[in-house]
Amino acid sequence: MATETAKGAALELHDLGKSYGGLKVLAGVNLNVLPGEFVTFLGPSGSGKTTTLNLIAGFADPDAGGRMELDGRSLAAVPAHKRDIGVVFQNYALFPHKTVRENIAFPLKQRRPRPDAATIARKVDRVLSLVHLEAFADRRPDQLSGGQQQRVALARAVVFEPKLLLLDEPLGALDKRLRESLQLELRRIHRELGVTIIFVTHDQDEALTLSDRIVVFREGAVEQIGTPAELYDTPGSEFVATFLGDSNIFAGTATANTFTQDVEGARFAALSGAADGPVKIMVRPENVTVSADGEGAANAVPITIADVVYSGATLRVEGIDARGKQLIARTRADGIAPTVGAKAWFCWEACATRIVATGNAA
Amino acid sequence: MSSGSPNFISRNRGMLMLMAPIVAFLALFFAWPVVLVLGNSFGGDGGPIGEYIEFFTSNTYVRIVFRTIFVALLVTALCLLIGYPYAYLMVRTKGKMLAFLTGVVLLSFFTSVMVRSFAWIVMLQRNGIIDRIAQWLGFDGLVLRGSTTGVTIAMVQVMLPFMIFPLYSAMAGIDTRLERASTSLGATKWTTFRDIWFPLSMPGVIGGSVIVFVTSLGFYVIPGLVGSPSNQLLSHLIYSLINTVLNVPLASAASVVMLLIALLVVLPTMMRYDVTGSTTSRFASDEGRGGKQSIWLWIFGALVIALLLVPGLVVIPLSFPENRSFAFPPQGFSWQWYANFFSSRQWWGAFITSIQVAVLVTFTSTVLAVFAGLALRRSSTRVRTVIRALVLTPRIVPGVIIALAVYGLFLDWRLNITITGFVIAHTIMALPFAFIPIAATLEQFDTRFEQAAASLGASRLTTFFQIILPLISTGMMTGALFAFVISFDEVVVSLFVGGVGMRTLPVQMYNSIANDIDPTIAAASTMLLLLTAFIVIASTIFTQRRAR
Repeated sequence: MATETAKGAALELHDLGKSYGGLKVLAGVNLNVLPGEFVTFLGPSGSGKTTTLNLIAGFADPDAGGRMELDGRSLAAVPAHKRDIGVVFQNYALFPHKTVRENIAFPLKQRRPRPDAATIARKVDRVLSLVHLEAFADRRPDQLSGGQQQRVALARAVVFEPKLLLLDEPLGALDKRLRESLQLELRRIHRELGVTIIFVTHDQDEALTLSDRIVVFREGAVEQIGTPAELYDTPGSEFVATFLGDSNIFAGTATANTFTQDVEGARFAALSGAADGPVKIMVRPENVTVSADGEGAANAVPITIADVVYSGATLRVEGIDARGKQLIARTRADGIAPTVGAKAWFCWEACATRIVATGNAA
Repeated sequence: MSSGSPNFISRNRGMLMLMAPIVAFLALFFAWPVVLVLGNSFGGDGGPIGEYIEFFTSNTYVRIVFRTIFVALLVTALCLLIGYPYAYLMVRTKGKMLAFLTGVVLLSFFTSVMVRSFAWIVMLQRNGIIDRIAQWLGFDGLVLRGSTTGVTIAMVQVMLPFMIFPLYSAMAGIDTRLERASTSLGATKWTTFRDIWFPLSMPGVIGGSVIVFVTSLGFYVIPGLVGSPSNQLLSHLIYSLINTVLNVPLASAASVVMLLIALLVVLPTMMRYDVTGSTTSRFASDEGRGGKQSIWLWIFGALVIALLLVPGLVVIPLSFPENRSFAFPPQGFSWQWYANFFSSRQWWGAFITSIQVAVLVTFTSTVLAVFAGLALRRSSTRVRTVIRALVLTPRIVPGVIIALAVYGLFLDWRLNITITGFVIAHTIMALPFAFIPIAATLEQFDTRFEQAAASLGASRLTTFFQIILPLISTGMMTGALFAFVISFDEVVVSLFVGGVGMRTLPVQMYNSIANDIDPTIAAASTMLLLLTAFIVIASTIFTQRRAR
């Protein structure tokens, strides 16, 4: 199976909304997914990501308005069973009374016209080998391990060659090692099938590892859309900055391109692009260095070292600034280890500063 | 969210369509005739409340009301005292022992009420087993037939399974870790029982007591056969007011009084506990806990087993006498009463009618219950409570009232003494029993299976037949079995609805006991007993295998 990007479908969401009993749980979601793209919906529980997935799959009606188009075709009047969208469920939803083979053959038997028995057997065998489960075809789901059940669910969702595959926290129930190996397998299958994938998770590492693009959800709305690098390097809000990776946030005031905070001794580089008024800036821990005197750095904040954690290649240094706020630096572990209780400076380059909020949001 | 808005209808169209058949059925054949009874009670010659004045100024009637309440309370208390330790013992066992203890209760539950009533008459009558034993021990003899004591003993034995199942179901739901936690916190065994176990088993205590009380209140068969006119109970009064005195308004007023007593007990407890839901839902579960139990508990358990089983067994020897007599021990040996059962138009005809009715009732009530169960899955918690209450209501209305109500309606519609009439009347009684196991299985059933099937391209219909139906088949079989047994065993409604040309087997048995001495009933009882034992043992083995 060679890479065929044409096998994936494009998906467009316009102003999609959903309410439950008068309570709006999703408001105005807009999204364009490209053919063959791997898009992750990331957000805390209750942020609307699974609701959006259910709307795309047709398990719920977008009663608060909006449109969905799959390859330019509106999904409004198409019932769930005619959408040709594969879904992998959180707890797999394998039919307990059917064997692995019968589970995987099930969607093929629903096609019209119905494929003949030989075709069905051939297609089932092909996906079984894709997920390396040839030896388990005649077992029942309760005779399989969690990871194996997961792969059967995946095989069942792709066997009828849908152009769009939805995965709802499919790795949530598995342990860390198994998750990582299945993440790699998922990437491989995505490459081989060329199908468009929408993947729901609340695990930021999973999102960063797997996705072409990430959609960050917050309180029923899209907070930011971007590639993993874009979201990590230039988060559009404090929420995104703190949700994806560790961050140090400073709240202060911008006046004529200078950032000021009422902390004694702290020094900040000139800030371009911020309107006058309240502002929040952010720096990632790996861009922060620990220095004894803070001399010569564009940004320097005096701190008291609270904790030092050794983790292989890096040191995680926790400092408390003059306001009592906790800050984090992640530095190479080859220098002299700072001692807990000592006074020091957290320093970083001017270009490492990001503005994450201005005006009322700050 | 207002559930009365037009939005509610469009949002729940599927649910409402599934509910339509059962709602229409119950409204037409259950609620409406009960309303008619209510109307009749105000429609006598003596003005709107004339019947009630007549009823409550009669010393006899008022005494009957109090006697009925007293007997029902006594039966409930005794069932609780006997049933609680037994249910406790069941929860403490597992595997084969649990299957045995459960099987005994099931066997008793499924043994025809007529068979058990007949057995009690034989035991309690003059020259019956108990009388003979008392004489042999040197007493003057002990005849309990015709006494309130005899009626109470027989009713306790018949009602016991209705108490044990909810008790067991509630106790099986108690988390064993709570007991360990309590012990580890320094509580003694007794304190743990009093402060942890008993309060947590309360839903079972309440559920069982309500069902036993309400059923005892309107129980007809045993008071009618074991009791005597001098200690008449309310159900019998209603029947004789209709059949002997032909005073429909007064009978209706008496029914309304009985219904009010039942509601007075049921409604307050329904507010606090899920009374109706716990009746039979989990009797087949295998979650025993093991552990060593006190020898006294086992001895008590053995006595309860004897109480549940022995009355059934005494009918067997009575089916072989040479003469037309129920004397004990029976004289001689012959198969003539079995031959009579199969050759007599009355007995064999009644048997065939019963089978026909029961098969049809099984079908209609299972289908209606599946519809209602599916609707349950598609509705919010609040709507769910309404659906449950609606389907289970016939269970908490005394049988004699349903009988009177349906009889009145069928008079107008010419449905008395027809198969259709029997099927409709029995379906009302069978619906709650069919619904409970089916609804329980459907509720456990994960919505994700339906979504998965839809995402894989299966239509609603395909999903129902290929995914839902196979997965709920066990619950459906249980529900169907209950429906069959309830219909096959039903007496009081059939007494009203049936007639000379068409009788069900239990009615034939009732008339036989009431009117003559004919050992054919012992032969019929023996065969029913064997059939029941076969079904219960087979299904116990089947579920045991499944559980493994």
